[in-house]
Formats: sequence, structure tokens, C-alpha cells
Amino acid sequence: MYRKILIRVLLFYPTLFVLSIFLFMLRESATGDEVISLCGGDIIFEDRLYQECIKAYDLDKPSFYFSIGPSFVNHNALAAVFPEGRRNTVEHLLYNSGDWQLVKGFDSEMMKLFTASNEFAGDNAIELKNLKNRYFRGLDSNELAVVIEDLSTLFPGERLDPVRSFFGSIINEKPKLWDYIPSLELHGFDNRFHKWWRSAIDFDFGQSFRGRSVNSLIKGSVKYTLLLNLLAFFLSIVASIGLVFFVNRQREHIRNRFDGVISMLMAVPRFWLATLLIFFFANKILFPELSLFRIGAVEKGASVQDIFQYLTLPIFCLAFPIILSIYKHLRENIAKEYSKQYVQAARSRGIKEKQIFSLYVLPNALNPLFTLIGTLFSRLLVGSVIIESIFFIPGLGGLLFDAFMSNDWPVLYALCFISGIMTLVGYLISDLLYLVFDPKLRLGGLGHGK
Amino acid sequence: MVNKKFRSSFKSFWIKVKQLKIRFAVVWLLSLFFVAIFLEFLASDKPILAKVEETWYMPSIGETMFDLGINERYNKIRRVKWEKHDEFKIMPVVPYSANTLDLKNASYKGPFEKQRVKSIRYRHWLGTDKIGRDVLAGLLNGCRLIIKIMLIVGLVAGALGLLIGGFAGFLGDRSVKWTLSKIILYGLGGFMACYIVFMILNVSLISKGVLHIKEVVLAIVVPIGLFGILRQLYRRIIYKQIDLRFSLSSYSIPIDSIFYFVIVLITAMPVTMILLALLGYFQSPSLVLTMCLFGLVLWKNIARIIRGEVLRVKEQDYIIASRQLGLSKGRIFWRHIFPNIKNQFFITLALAVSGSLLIEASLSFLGIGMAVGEISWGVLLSQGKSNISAYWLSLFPGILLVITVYSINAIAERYKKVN
Repeated sequence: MYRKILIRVLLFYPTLFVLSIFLFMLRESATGDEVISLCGGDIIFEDRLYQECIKAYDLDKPSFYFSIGPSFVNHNALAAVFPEGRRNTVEHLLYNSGDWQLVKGFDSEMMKLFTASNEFAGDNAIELKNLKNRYFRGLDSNELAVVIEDLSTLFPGERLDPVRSFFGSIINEKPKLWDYIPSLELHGFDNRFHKWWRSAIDFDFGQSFRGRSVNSLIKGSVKYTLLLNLLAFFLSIVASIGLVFFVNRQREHIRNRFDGVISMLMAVPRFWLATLLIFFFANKILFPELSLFRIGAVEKGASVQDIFQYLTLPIFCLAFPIILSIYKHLRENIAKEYSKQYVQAARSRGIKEKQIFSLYVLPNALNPLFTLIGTLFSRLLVGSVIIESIFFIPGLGGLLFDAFMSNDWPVLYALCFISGIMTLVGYLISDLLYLVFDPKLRLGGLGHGK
Repeated sequence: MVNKKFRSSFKSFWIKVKQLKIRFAVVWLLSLFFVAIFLEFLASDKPILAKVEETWYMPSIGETMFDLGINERYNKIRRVKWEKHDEFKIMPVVPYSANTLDLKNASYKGPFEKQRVKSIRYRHWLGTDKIGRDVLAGLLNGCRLIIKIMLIVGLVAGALGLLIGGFAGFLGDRSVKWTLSKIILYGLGGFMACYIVFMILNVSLISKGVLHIKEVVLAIVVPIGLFGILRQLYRRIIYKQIDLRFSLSSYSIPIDSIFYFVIVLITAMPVTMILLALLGYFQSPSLVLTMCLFGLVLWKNIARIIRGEVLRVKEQDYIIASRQLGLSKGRIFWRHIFPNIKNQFFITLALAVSGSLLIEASLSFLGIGMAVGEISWGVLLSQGKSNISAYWLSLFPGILLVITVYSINAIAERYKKVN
């Protein structure tokens, strides 16, 4: 058991590392110009703000510790090309020609032409701007040829010659087969992933796309989720153990019937239950103010009745599947314990059935529940996504849902990361609980691990 | 003869079903299959059989056949308005498709409300949704989607779980022994294979913008060919000339530990969150892709249980005996180990599949996951969320979902009790 806990502790950071590599990869390959999203909407490439944004968020740095690729690709320099569409164009040309110098020259000549916009006025200026936007949106070589043709109407004479010559040689060249031999390029610690991971470890998740910092968003909504989930957690433990006590006093066939009903109820999804509850109970008599969860009502000293109004149905919905699964586990464990010999021995000594159940069987049957508690801990956030979006509660789940719907990657990944940490901590806690409550393990006897 | 054999096998199957007391669940799942297969005959806005200009057509399935490119002659009748068609026609039981808009009965007409239909044949028996789509047709279409989900998720998760769990348990930490030269050769080969696949896909994506079938085939064939060449190279040359001559010592590859580490890693990741992130990355993926993602996320429980079972079975005497007899590893696994872990495998697979149905429904309920235009039970439920008073939108799909999930769970549970 100690070995198992040691493995968990040792695996903590590697697991988080792999998780964040995975999340970072997804984030990197997500479409859309991150700079514009970060700086809030309508800034354009010429703005000084754009350049400052790139500098401030280190977006021109390479993305990982190393990169492996064909020898003609210079990842370090490629990362500094902005905006994203222009980088796609450059990458496309690079893979077609296999010569970084040519492509770089072509790109800088194109940029020279585009920055000469103050020479034009009226329709020509608009035309140039349109061409530039097309270049910045990402083009393949056929579309580039069209753009260069259009540029020739704006720039008559020799000014287009360098662009034409570069483009011609790019089109004519092809990478040789040995150019594809992989070459390793090291970037050191000065990369984006390292920074993201360092700050994520310190719980600093940067800026949300909606303007506020991710931390303040999380801080604002974590209390509702915590309140809901803690209450639901206690309710589920108390209710399931109470149910077990209740059922244990019934006769056998009623007990079996009850178990059948429970396993049927286990197929009821949370969200459906919530919809039905709202349909049947959210009326003028029982829960009139249900759909209007007033923000801040909880902390501004609302009366107990108010809190009861708001929270009863969501907490019941959150706790419902947990109650059922704990109940089912407990019943199975109790059946297993009753078949053991110490129960017979206790009976033969004349101890009452009630005492056998509550003093002998139940404590033993409770032990395997700690695994369940560990997994519950990890499922808190996911469960509250649905419940919070149905009951309009401004908690973490609602935040996650909004982030997903508006493609707000920093928030989404911060929440994923936190959820990963919670999962790991949950497993650790369940192992420790085992160690505390199971004397077999504490005394170094038969372990559940190897 | 064949008929007799089939009948007797069906009889024994039915006796087993009766013994396990899962008659209702099995009949329910079979009827779902039935609806999924014969959907066009049950709910469609086109007739099953119709006569157009002295020619007979079967428009409801003809459309599907035309989409598959089998039957070209249905191109002629694509523009026929079937509602006003007054030659001979037989309409399906529900004369609406899941996507048919009945604008006369739009904005939540209930099952018992007065509906503006021309005859009782065209009545919406289970009501309509906001834009007048028939709920019953949606439910029947949902049956087909549910069957699709079950098949794809079961296939992907089952295959991954069985392969990884089986490999980890069966090969163990000590049974695979490689010499240093083989490790280096195959390690480099694996790296090269990954790199080549990446390059083929990446170069074609960047320089052409699209992925052709040629590149995909190349990306599958090239690494397999590379490993074939490496294998021959090792066997013919390196093994004979280096390993044998210098009698190099071999190292055991800890396959079990590696796979177990991967399983622990994935267990530590929050499944639904990863699913959300992946779905967000793919930006409204198709149904098949979504289900493959579900399968990719859900295999870990199956793998863990299969690994444990294989470890248990592997120590039995008959496996040791068959190993001593010199049977090949594949034969031992498929002929001697797999039949013994089969029941456990299908039980966990069933639980994973029923779990995936619930996850799918809750994601569609939130408006995530299901491709646009697909009407599943979860999509109907999500419409019920936006208008709570339209109880028929949340009641009927919910009941169907609960019964389906319960029947899968019940079958798994009864099986577990018997074994």
C-alpha cells in the first residue's frame, strides 16, 4: 500500500506534465488568430498594439523545447512570422521549394510592397489593403500567382521584379529527397510551453479571451460550485447510508425488489431528472424563485429559507446518481461481508442482529467506499456543468460551458488542468483514507496493491 | 438443414435468455435494431411504394440508395411533391422524416392539442417541436443513431481495450526479451516510421491543403513495409552475424509496466473534460468522428479489467501446458485465454457502451457533440430544456433512453451474477 501511494506521489508531476502537453498541443493546433482574440477583437496587423501583444504574450517564441522536421524548415524563425495566415503561406511555400532563404526574401519583398500604402489614395489604397488581407489570410501558390498579377496593376515597372524573380525560383525549385532527413532543433527553456506550464503550476492561467484574467473568473465562480458540491457530497453520503440502514430492516423479498428499483433508477441521467423536477416542482407553491438564481444572494446574508429555495433541487440532482452508486456498492459489500465466518461466530455467541450489522458488518463494508470517494472528487466539476447550466447557477460548470461555447481556450484549459489536479488529489486522498481506516493495510498485512 | 440448425441455436439462445430473466431487455434491444434497420419503412416523408407515370418506385429507400450511388433512376422523382401526389402510393406508418418541417404545426404542438392536419393519418401523435418537426419520427431516427453509437463506440473501445489490456497482461514484464541490437534497430525504426507518417501527412496538408486517399494509404503502407524490411534485416543478417557470434545478452522489455503506466495516466485525466477539449478542437465533428473520440476515451476501464483477467487466467495449468507444448503466442491467446475472459470482456464493454450513451445524451442536451441536423434523443431533450412546458419533448426521449440504458446494464448485471 505504501508502495502504491509512493507511486501515486511520484507520478503526480509526470501525469500533470503529460496532461498539459496534451492540452497545449490542442490549443496550439486550434484555428483562429490568438493575438486578435487575446487583445479583444478588432485590432489589425499594422497596429503597434498587435506587435506589443505578440511581445507581451511571447507569441513569437517557438512552441516547444525542441522541434524535429526536415532540414530546410527553420522553426525558430517560422514562429516569429505573424499573423497566422501569413505564416501558413510562408510554410506552404517552404514545403514546396525547400529553400528558406528564397521564401524569406519573397516574404520580405511582399511586406515591403504592402507597407508602401501611403503612396496610394482612394480606390488603389483599398485595393492594396484587400490584397494584403488576402495574403494574411493564407494562400497557396496558385492563389499567390493571382495576387501577384493583381499587384502588377498597382506597381507598374520594375518594383515588382524582385517579387516575381523570387516567386519564379520558388515555383521552379523542389525539395530533394534527402532534405526530408529529420534534423533536431533545440530551443531551450525560452519557449511558450515552458512558460505556460510554469505559470500553470503556480495557478496563473493568463488572460481569458473575454478580457478578464482567468484567475479572477475562476475566483468569482468557485464558491457556488464548492457550496453546491460539498452539500451534495454530504447529502449523498448521509442519504445512502441511511437508505442502507432502512433497507436492511425490511424483509428479504422487499429488499430485493428495492435493489431492482435502484438499479433501474441508476439508468436515469441527471439532466433528465433535473428537467422533470423543474417541470413538476418549480411552481408557485414549492420553488417559485428557482430559475432566478440571484448572483451574490448567497454571500449577502440571504435567509435560510432563500438558500433552501435556490439549492434544494440542484443539490438533489447532483447527489442523486452518487447516492445510488454508493448504495449499490454498499449493498454488494454488505452481502459479501455477511457470507464471512466472523458473522456466524458473532451470531453463535448470541449477539443481536442489529448489533452485528452496525458494529461488525457496516464498518467493514464501508472500507471499499474510499475508492469511490476518490473518483467522486474528480467528477465534481463535470457533474456541475450540466446542473449549473440547467439551473442558471454562475459556478465553474457554467464558466466551463460558456468557455466551450465561445472557444475561450485559456479558460477551458485552465479548468481542464484544475480538474486533472483534482482527480490526482482525489485518488491520493482515497489511498490515504484506506491507510487510515483499514487496519489490515496499516499493519502492513495483505495489501490491495501488489 | 441450415434452417434447422439456426432454429435450434435460436432456441438455446432464448432458453438462456429466459434463465437469466433478461427477456424484456433483449427484446427491447432487438426491437431497437429492427427500427434502426427498417427506419425508412417506419418514418419517412416519402412513400414506401408509389406509382409515377406508370412506373413503380420505392422512394423512401430509393433516396438512400441514390445517395449511395446504387440506383440512378431515382434522380427523376427527386422533385415530386409527395403530399400532393394523387396516384397510387403507400405511406409509412409515420408519414414524416425526422427533419421534415411541418410549418402549419410549428411552435410546440402537444400530443393532445388540436393540430392542423388534413387527416388523422398525418397527425403528430407525440407532438411537434419549435419548427414543426415530428417528435415520433425524431424518436425513431434516434433509434438508428443509438445503434450507430453503440456499434462504433463498442468497436473502438472494445478493440483498444482488448488489445492493450491483453498485450499488457499476456506478455507481462519478462516474456519479451530483445538483444540490444534489436532494441536499437526497432527503436530507430519506430521513430523513423512515426516521422515518415508525420511527414507524409504534414507535407501533403501544408503544400496541397487537402489530404488525398493516396497519402493516407501511403501513410499506412510505408511503416508496415519498413517494419517488414527491418524484421528481415534483423533475422537474416544482424541476428546471425552479430547476436549469435558475440552471444549478446538480452534485456526484457517491460511491456506490462509501460501499458499500465499509460492506463494510470489516462485514469488520472478527467475523461469528460478531455472529451470537451477534443470536441472543441474539431469544431463540430461528424457523428462517426465523435463516436471514435468517445471510444478513444472510454477504453481504459476495459483494458484494466482485461489485464487483470488475463493475469489471472495466465497462471492456470492448461495455459502452462499449452506453452510447454510449443503453441504459438497468438494461438494461446485467442484459443485458450480469450474464451475464458470473454464473459468479463463483454460485461465491461456493455457498461462502457451504456455509459457512452449517457455521455452522448448529456452532451447533446448541452448542445455539444452531435453533428448539426442529426436528431438524436439527446437533441430532442435539449429542445425540451428550452421550453419546459413542452413536456412531450423531454418525457418520451428520456423514457426511451432510460429503458435502453437499463436494459444494457441489466444484461451485464445478470451475466455478472451468473458467472
